[in-house]
Amino acid sequence: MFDFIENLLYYTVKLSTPLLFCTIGGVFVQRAGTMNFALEAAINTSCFFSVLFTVITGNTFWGIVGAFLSCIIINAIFGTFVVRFKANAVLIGLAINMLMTAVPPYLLQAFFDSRGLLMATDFIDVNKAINIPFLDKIPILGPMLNNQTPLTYLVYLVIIILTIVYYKTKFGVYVQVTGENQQSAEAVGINTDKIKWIALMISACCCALSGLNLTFEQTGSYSLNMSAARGLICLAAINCGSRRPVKSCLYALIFGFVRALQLMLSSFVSPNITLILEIIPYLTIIIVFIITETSVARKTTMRFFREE
Amino acid sequence: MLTTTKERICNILNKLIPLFLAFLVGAIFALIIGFNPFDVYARIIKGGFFSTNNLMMTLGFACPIIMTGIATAFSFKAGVWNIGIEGQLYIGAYAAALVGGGYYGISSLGLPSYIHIPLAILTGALFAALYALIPALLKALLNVNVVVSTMMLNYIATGLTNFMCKAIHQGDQSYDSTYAVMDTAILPKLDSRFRVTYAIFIAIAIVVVITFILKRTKFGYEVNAIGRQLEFAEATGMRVKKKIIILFLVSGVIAGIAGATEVLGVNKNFTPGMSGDPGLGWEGYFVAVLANNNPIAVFIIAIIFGGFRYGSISAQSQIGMPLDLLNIIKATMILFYAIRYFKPESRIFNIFGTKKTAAALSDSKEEAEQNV
Repeated sequence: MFDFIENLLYYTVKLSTPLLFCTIGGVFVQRAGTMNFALEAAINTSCFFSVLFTVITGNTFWGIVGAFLSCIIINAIFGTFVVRFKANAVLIGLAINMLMTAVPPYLLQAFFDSRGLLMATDFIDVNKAINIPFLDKIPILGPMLNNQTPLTYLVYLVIIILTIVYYKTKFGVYVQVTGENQQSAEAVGINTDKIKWIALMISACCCALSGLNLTFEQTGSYSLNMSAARGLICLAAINCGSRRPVKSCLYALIFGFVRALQLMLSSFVSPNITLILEIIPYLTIIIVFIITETSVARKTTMRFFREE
Repeated sequence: MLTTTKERICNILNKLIPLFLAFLVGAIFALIIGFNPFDVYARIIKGGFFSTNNLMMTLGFACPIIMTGIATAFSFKAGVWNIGIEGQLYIGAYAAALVGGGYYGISSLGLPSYIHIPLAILTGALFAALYALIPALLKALLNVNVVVSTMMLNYIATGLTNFMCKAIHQGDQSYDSTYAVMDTAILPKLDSRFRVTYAIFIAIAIVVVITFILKRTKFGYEVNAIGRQLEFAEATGMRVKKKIIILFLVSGVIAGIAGATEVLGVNKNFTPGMSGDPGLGWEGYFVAVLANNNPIAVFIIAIIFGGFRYGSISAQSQIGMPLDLLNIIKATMILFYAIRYFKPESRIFNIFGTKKTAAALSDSKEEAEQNV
């Protein structure tokens, strides 16, 4: 039982990493007033191109470059349409998601003869766990935080830095103002388009890291739609966390915990039951939505109950 | 008069440019993997439309897309981004497959086909509508983001039906599916050689009914008003929440019928991947967006998309073109469609009227000639 809890916590930290990266980047875009559904596409793209470039060049460095470049391009497309041409963000986000679910199988079928899978385990060493000697001695935290991969440790650093940027710098305040009221922001001389572009680029880099965590530290290969709605889960986390960095990240951790729970439970039950466990993460989001939105609704629309 | 022609030209241009750009992008992708784009497009269009047989097959592919397109367009019309059609379709298809396959003692009832078929379709519609009720209540009562909730419910629906199919209703079959639909529940085909079934008439009926509702009834008017500005509609006393719930239910019913007819007429059983890639619900989404939520336009574009779907299958079997090319083209079409390239008030048209522009135009012509 104790082992179970330790493993659960370990996997929570491990599986939350891609969600956290994506969430902390997405917070900026979301806060700047743009509904970015292309997060999903960005993670998927990062996964695909990191593996593709690694396989083509045989060098993981170019894989990393590919991940960053492709994510920046995806977000630049999103930015061009939404920020520059003022198109409907939902429409564009969904279209980019569609596009990026179609491009990888297309290229894979044409060049690698397998529509759904691209292995790069020959080039990528998935075992990147860092063993920190003194951590082992702490009872629960030790096994939970020890032997994680570099990006897992990096994500908490990134969260701290970006939270400081969000609250303590001029740029962070501009982002908040832009999201709050764009006309007013423009009236006081803030270049809102520029703010949105910078936010998009931050989000791109975070999504690239998120994808890299999946491919370089967990699977070592690309399989079709391997982002598995992580972008949407992050979007839900950002929404539930009312677009604040730390709060959103906590929700991302909850969703990571649920995924870990699903993974742990599925090793105890028969293969058929694991299929029903797969819907748990999505169901959790609906439930969390109900809980968080009920409190919001009570404050706003149901106010007349409390006025007396 | 002048403004209307201007607007008309703008509209046509705004619709043609995305088409052109999308096929251009598609051509680039075709070139990347070493296919001649003209050859590919010619095969797709020929395979989809250029003979009666092909057209009949195309109609078969278009039929569910018409319904999902209408379902999507109907809720988009009210500004509700209901993209949960895919999930509702799965639930509807699954319920219909259970009734049609004679589960739970239905096989021993010995129903004649004139009861069995409607029963199966209506069960599908009912369950899909119930499933659509979830995001409807979430939106109406708690104002949850519809896109996220419906998207999550899509994943839940596919996961749930996948589980039910494999774990409960598969029986002793080696293949992941429900039992084949009973003979009395099979929706007959117009001609046994082709894919198209009598469901096409249901689809046409749905188009007519929805067009009527949107154009001629009070409810349709209110839907339009809600779509234009929700707060204003609410302020003038339309009961927006109730309308949104009804909208979702209607979409759910249509999606359920689409799934049910597909199972009963074409697939004859439920398989976890029945909806194809992209799913029929997503095809409906594409169609609804491109048709600007107009039911008649949905009907026409859905048939074109059905043709693409069949044409790309024949292109794949002939020259090994990956089917995903079409998905790339469709996604880019949506991407480019979201921009309005020309507005009636934009400078290009103002320029046409003055002499200065004539000069500018001739200048640019000369430049173009020099470049050539």
